[in-house]
Amino acid sequence: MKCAGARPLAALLLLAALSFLPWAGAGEAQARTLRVADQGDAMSMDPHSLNDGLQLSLTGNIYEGLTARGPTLELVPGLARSWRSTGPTTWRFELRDEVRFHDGAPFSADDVVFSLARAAAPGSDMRAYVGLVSRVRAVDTLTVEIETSQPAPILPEMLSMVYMMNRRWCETHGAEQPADKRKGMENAASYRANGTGPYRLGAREPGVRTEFERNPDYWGTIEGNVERVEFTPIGNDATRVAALISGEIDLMQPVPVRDIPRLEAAPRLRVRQGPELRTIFLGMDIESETLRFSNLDDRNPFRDRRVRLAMYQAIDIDAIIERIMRGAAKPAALLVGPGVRGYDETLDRRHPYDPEAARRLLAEAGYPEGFEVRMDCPNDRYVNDAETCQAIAAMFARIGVRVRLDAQTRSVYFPKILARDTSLFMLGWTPATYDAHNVLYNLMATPDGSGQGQFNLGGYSNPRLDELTRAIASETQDDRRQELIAQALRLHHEEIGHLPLHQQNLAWGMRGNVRMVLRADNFNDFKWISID
Amino acid sequence: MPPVATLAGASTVLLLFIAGAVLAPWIAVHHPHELASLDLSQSLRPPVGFAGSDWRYPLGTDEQGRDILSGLLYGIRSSLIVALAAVGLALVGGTAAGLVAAGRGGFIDAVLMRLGDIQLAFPAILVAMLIDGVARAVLPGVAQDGRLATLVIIIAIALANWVAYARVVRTAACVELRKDYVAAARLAGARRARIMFAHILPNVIGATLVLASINFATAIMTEATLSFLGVGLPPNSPSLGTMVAIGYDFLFSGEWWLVVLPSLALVALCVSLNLLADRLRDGLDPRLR
Repeated sequence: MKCAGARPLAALLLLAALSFLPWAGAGEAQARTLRVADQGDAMSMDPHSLNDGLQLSLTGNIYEGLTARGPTLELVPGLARSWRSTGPTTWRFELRDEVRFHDGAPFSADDVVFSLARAAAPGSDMRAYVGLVSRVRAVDTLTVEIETSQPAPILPEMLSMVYMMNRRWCETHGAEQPADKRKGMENAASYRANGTGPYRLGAREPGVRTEFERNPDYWGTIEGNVERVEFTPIGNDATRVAALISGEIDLMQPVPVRDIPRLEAAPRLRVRQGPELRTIFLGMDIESETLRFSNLDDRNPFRDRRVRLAMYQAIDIDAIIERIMRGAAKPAALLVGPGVRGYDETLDRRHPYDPEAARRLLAEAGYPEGFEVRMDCPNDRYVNDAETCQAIAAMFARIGVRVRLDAQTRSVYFPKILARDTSLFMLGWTPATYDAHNVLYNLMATPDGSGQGQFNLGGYSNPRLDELTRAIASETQDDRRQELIAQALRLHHEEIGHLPLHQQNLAWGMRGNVRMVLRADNFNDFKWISID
Repeated sequence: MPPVATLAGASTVLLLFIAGAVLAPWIAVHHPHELASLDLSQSLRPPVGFAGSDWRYPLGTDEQGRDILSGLLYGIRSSLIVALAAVGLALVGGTAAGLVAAGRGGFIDAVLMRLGDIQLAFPAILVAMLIDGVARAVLPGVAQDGRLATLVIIIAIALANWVAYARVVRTAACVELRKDYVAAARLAGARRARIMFAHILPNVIGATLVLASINFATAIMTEATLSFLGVGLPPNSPSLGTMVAIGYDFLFSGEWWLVVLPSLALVALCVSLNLLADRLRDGLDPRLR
């Protein structure tokens, strides 16, 4: 017998079921939302707190500097309309008119004075970029005069990544100082943002999701058509690839090198590759009297050039590039890559791979049995970072240097090595100015607490190289400058201050209807992304 | 009871695995985590039968050049050692707790059983992860040192699993305590401890052995799961779970043997253990006799 109440119930259930069906085509009707994923996350939304490519790239959509970069990395006006050198050590920047921060406050010279001072403060990781700045003065509301401690012909390039913040907003929110990542500090600027850029910060959940919304009052043009961006970090490679394949995300990087052929073959997906300006290398503690994190308690083998050369010659970089990077990298002998001003192809010749010679050198240096040392490595920052370190650890083991590999996630790894809590570590570096001086100043010059050598985490020190770096900073004649750079690079190469590895390739995976600009420094400007 | 043929198959598989694990140092091509023995030029070879394979590495190699077969042998060795120790520890600890609870009664009984009840509310994996996590915070060496990590895992899995033994033993012991031979022993002047361990224990042990045999397979899976998640054995220690975790990244790119083979090994090991445990239960469980 048919139950009387069954029909209305069935109708109700059908209605409920239909309401859960995904409506095809509804996506196109909504605002253009770009879902982008990366293997890690920005550690904070504070633009001065960490000199990390991803963080600067993400915050670079919200904040802007006085100067900026175009699609092919050429220097273009940013918040400064124009600039000129008014003396050997002075620069004058004319600021744009009618620029407002996201909270409506007008942008003025006072904000420039504040921001540059903030970037030079003790907790800032951007000190090297303002290291040559000695005084900033607001001439009037739209003009700033910057004095440098020595002639600085590339100051505008150095300032392109020092983003401008609003003094009043920072003071109101207790964010006058940058949050010192090394000490694990945070303040309001870590979670909220008030910039002048083409996108505003929406929700921010560290490690989970960050949302960006198009800024309708932006002073410039936004060529792309993206209105909202949802950024999610997806650390696991397979998950990130699966998310792209399934349509859960529209754009991601890095595509693991082993998955590139598969994604290229997929019908509605595309992979764009290009060389990156980033050089990956290993650093050694050359400073300490005794090597911490090793089995030696009375000496430091890395202080001996023969040991450093032995480590260098133990690395079979061609095998690593062929097997681990699957060809998507180029061996490096310098910490400066092709595309960086000052790169010299004739100097880019590695010391030869020779494990026999390496063993002999170690014995000569007094380590016939080798030694043990801890090696620190990130596992989610560079392409195949942990796998490369693994392979290198095996190569070191073959010459007697028994490595204990400690591969960690970047949020733990970078504070550790930035605090110089390491004996052997991996690092990658893209010079923000696309100029070799940046590499010499940050990575190779003697650390002096002011910004010089801020990322020279092994403490490599050579006074002659420091002299050359100072001279390069103020040299205006191109060929003389190139000669000085070559001298410095040659010196570092001979002394083996670091163990250069390779320049990796970029690989971005995207749905077929996404168009973006691939920058060689791997920065992602949302304003240049379009979804067809 | 499972058919004889299946039992024979399960026993063979298990014996093969045990033989492989015991003989691993001699029959494996190399210890997969002996860094100096790795050869990057041999990386990503497929198992024999596929293009590019090599008989020296019959089941293929992974991205660092580690031989898969050697990894399986050492991994099974790890799994068996961890499971044996963990189950042994849980068995001994749980049985002791159950006997004490039954013998003492009153407050101690209540405390022990309630502790067990509380723990049963949490999934075993979670309990093991918690203990492992606390150990890592207290002893930083755990993340790196294979031996220390093994010890921590054994304790974690044992602590996650003792409750079942305690309850079974307590119930059985309570039943036994009412029997005549116990009264006789008491009259003869035997002390409580002697009664519990010399008289009652042999009569309740059967049930615990059944539990242990099933628990063995669970312990193997728990260790594999913890290592897969990265909170078990450190990456430089051989483990089937770690092999699956590493191989998982290669699912989409065609190097299927990196994840399929360790997974199959785990499945085969656990299924054969479970089949044999079934048989053991049929033999030992007093209720089915």
